[in-house]
Amino acid sequence: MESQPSPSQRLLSELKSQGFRLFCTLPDIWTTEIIDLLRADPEVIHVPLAREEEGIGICVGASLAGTPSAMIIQNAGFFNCIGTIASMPLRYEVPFLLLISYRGLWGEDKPFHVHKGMYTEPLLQALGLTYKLVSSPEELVAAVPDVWRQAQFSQRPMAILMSREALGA
Amino acid sequence: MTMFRKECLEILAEKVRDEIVVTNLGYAAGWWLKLKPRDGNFYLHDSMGMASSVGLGIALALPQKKVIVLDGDGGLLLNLGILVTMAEKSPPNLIHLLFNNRCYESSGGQCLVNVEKTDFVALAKGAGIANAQEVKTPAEFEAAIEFALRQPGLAFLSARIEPEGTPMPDFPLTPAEIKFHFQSYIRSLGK
Repeated sequence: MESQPSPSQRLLSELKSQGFRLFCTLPDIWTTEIIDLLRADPEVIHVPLAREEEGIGICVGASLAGTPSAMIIQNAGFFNCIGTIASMPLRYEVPFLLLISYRGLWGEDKPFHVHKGMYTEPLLQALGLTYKLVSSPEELVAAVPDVWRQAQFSQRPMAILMSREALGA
Repeated sequence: MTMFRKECLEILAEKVRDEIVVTNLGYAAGWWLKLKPRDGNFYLHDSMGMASSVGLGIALALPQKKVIVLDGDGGLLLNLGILVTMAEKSPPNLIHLLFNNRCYESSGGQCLVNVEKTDFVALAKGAGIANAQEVKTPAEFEAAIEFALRQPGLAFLSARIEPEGTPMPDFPLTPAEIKFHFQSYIRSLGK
């Protein structure tokens, strides 16, 4: 019997089928598998980051150069990006995808992540970034084309907030 | 012998053919727009420190095009980790050109942190960018940029310059105009 693809395998395959080619990542324990898959995939450009904010510039550059791009980061890493999101992709109107592991809310097992859970959605709202919260692997895969279409229509970056269950972590 | 950013950019403007140029904000954007206005430029309006990241993204997306980043020392300090990320990917088509004037000239000339002790070439080499060097005269600059344009390989070039002491050139383009021109250029490449 063939084994079922994991949530991360399904996510990567959906991202690739939507045309995403460049991925900036900084690990969270929940995103270990998807990052391992990206590192091993010769069909994508995987850019491991030293700090998340760099990735905003890299995604803007790649997207402007015609290569759809996405960031896979933790919500704490999203906090590191706020000034640059405001001053670059929102000003120049450049769409890309932010895939954010939503630590500190449902499914959290570490108390120190809780404050990040509290501030994540208010900060996305403050920037006017549209986002979709997903809580199962099925919702995650379905959100990719939906959110990407909206991002392209509006020429803005958009986010998917991924729960632990969505990532199968 | 002293060197100024404007004379380096005048030399660069003579050399640039179909390379993509990503500029930092302030003087770099202003002078480059005056010296070499063209669709293949992408100017930062704000987002100090991000020129290197944008250039890296473009270089990875368009491996057949040479990309030149015009960065400043203050900008690089805001985004120092990019040296490691650049070294990890080492795109052979990227030239990271640093203007080292030891001050925040575009915001009023205030002194840079740790001025005169920071060795940016050593930082780049320490990050793993083997092809990193400092140039101090226009002749050295010209030779180094010619070499970097001709040879494939990630290059980090730190130009030790003096503050301009002249008013910042006007920069009339809006982000929408910058994006429109740059994307016309990308479309002309068949992307």
